[in-house]
Amino acid sequence: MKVSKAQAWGFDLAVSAIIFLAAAFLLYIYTLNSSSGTDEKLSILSHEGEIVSNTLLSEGYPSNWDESSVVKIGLLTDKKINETKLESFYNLAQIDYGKTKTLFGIRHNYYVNLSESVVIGGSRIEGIGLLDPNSDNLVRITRVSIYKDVPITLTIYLWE
Amino acid sequence: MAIKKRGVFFSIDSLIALIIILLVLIISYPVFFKSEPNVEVHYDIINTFSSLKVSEINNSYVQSLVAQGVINNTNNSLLEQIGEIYVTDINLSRSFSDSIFSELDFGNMNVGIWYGDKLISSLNSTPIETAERIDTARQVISGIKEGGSVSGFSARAFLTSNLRSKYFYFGGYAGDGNITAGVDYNGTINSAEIELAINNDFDLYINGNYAGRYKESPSDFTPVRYNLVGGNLSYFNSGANVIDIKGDNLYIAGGFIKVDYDISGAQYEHASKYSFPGVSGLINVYDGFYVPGNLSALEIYLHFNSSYNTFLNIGNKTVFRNSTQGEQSFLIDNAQLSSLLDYNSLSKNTIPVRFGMENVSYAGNLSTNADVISVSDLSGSMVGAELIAVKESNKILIDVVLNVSGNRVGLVGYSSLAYQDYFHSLSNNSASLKSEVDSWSAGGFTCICCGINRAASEFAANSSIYRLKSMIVMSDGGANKKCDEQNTGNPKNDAIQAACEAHNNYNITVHAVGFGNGADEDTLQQIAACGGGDYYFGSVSELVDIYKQIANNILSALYKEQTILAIGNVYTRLYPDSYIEFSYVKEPPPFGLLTSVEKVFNNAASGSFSVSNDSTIVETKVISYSGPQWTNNVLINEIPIYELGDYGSEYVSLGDPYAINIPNSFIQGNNIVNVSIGISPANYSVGTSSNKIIYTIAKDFLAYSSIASITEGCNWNIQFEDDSNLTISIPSVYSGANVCYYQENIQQYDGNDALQGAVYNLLRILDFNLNNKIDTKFSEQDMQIDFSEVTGIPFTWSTEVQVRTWS
Repeated sequence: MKVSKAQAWGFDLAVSAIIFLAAAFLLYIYTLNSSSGTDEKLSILSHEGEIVSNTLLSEGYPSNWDESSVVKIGLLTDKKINETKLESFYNLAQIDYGKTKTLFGIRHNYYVNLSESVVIGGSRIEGIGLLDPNSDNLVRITRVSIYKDVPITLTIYLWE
Repeated sequence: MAIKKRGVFFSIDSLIALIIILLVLIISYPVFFKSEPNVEVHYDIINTFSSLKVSEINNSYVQSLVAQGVINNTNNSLLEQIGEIYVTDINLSRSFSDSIFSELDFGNMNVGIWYGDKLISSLNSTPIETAERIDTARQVISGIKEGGSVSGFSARAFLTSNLRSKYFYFGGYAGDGNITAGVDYNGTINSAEIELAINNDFDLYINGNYAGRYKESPSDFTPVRYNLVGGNLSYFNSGANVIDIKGDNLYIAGGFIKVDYDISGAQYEHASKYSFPGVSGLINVYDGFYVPGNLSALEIYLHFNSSYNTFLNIGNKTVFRNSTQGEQSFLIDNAQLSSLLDYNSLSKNTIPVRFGMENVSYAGNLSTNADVISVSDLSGSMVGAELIAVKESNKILIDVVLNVSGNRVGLVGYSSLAYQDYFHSLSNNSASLKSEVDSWSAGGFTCICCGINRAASEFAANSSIYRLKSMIVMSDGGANKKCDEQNTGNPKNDAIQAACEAHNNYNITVHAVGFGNGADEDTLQQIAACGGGDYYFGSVSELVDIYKQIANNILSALYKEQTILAIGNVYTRLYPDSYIEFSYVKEPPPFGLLTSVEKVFNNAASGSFSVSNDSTIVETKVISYSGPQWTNNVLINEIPIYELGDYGSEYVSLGDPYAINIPNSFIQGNNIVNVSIGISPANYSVGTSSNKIIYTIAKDFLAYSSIASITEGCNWNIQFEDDSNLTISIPSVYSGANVCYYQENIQQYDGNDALQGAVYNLLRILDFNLNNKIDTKFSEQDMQIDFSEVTGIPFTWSTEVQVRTWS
């Protein structure tokens, strides 16, 4: 009986401790998420996402910019995504991702993909920029435009 | 059992712990992914769907609809096309929209598109009814409405400018004999009409071709109008034409020939020449001409044959007097004319022109006679020699006046009253009148106004405006009885006022005769002055001669009309190539379609016409049927623009224009024209109700329909200002059963038919005074409809498109 009682107590204690620790950990995580610091981060990401989306859905500067002359990255010509500009943007991001962030005026990482498949240099690309699916903070922004005479969605991710 | 109890306890603890863990997981989930609502995507959809056209979209379903002809207007944006299909087939519009939406990836976002209150397409994971937040982008599309037409039609109606009307006027009096007129036009004749006040039946010849025999007009003041139809029209040629009017001792007391013809591209021509009518018989022309600007040069060419001295008067100046040895022509150049005439006074005025023979007798026209009433004093002072003299004088008056067939005499004897026993109505029965005179006796007071009023009543009852009315008021004393009609409180003033009223109200010329030492000359002179007559005074022995003189003067005035009484084998001829040519600085031709309108007078005294603000007046003529008398004056809006008396009181030496121009500067929106006719400045009356205003306006007659859903046309029934009617199919190829009306009593058309709407709007423009009668006569050929049918004209109704996102 004594053994049984002690075993029962020890086992219950172990379970309770695990539960307590788990709850304490989760409480810590919750506290972390609900903090004003997290809200601020998401807000910054959202703001940068709007900057990137609005910039991309413009003509850019100069209006016929290319990789060497670009001041502002905009993909549109006559309200449609210009394939040449899209390719230039892709190349820029491939060569110097950091420069594109600078051109956008953002601090965090971005990733852009289209609902329509995009082929550049004979290869189908998934998107432009960098994406870490496991990132802690991520904002997704969806825009609609016209690419190859088809309405498409343009999805922009901002993350850290 | 204990073990069992512990196991249960453990299980409950684990379950609680697990629940806690799940709750914490739910709470902590955002740390791994947070999706922010996208506030721009609904605007993007609106913009994208507005920018991309049907012809551009790379979508197999949409292009198949185009290939099948379901979609016709590939220039529509996607937003417009969904809207158009939504009007007629909402399920098709949903399929259309879904085919595009399905290609889009909105992730977890809920997106939908609405037209009006109808959801057309959506991509959503939760229904909008449960949404906590909804963002909406809106755009209004015009031209579509559920259940309405998505495209409309517009039509344009207009009158062609090829139809022109031209008038050739005969003048106030053209005679006496056979008469010839020139008619010049260049084009294809459509119709010709002739309107004349002519004294006898006549034969008409067009370029030497017999064109029928026509009846005389009802009177010299009332014209007859004939439409020259059928083969007679074929006698006309483009260019110069000669119209001969032949009959017995003819004269035309006003009239015109009107031709309507087609001509393309011709502009309005300002007049620069007056052509004399041709006369074969006795040259006797009364007319006038109008210089529309500042006269700079004048030239006259006369081609005639007259052994009599023949004269030409311009205004009151005789510019030519001569006879010929057979057929001769004379050219009076500008140098001669400028020394005789004041060009300034001829500018922008209608100038009387008289071309006639001297030393011939002007006879009273058969339709114009004198009515004379002798108003004799039979008061107590007339007993004795005075009464005898009065009776003898009245008998002389009766003999002289009735010597001309058609004249009449009436008798009024007055004393304290104007007794019926001493009255004889207007009559040409000399014996009866003299018997009445013989029955007269003297006695009582002197009521001069009674006598005048009684005579005026007789004129009003039994005379007419076409007869020369004269009254001779005689007295040897002063008025001493008053009249209620005048009621001035003074017998003398009553008498004077009675004379004024007789003259003003009935156009009676009142002469006054005083004799003997007791005559109130002052009152009698005022009676004559206000009555428009003359005053005579003499002794008893001179009374007979005075009456004889008055009778002759009345007959003399009667003779001074325009007709020559042909005596013997007198023959003269005036050739119609005679002319007066004038030069002046012409204004630029008016812009727009020229339309000539004839507006008959409202009554004998006046006529009216209106010019709308969007029209330009080009020319206005008042035509006056003055018979063998003269047009005395013309006023527009109470402003005199023609006064024959300005040229002198002897009208027989002056011209008599039939058409008097009204300078454009006098024309207002609404205008009233007054015309009087007479034989002297003091002897005139109102004109006739046959007078007209003929005016020409320039205006673009063009009308559009509003946007309508159909274009069919109609069989139109149209009433013109002269109450004639026209039934035409518009457009001319229309063969349907639609019936439309533009008539005084009914206005009917379908506003949903673009063609009908355009025609109605055009007719409204052509109805200058908006009395539901068309002022501009036109034929079916003149009415042109431009089918500018335009599909896709959006209607004014609209629908709101909304794109909503919600979460």
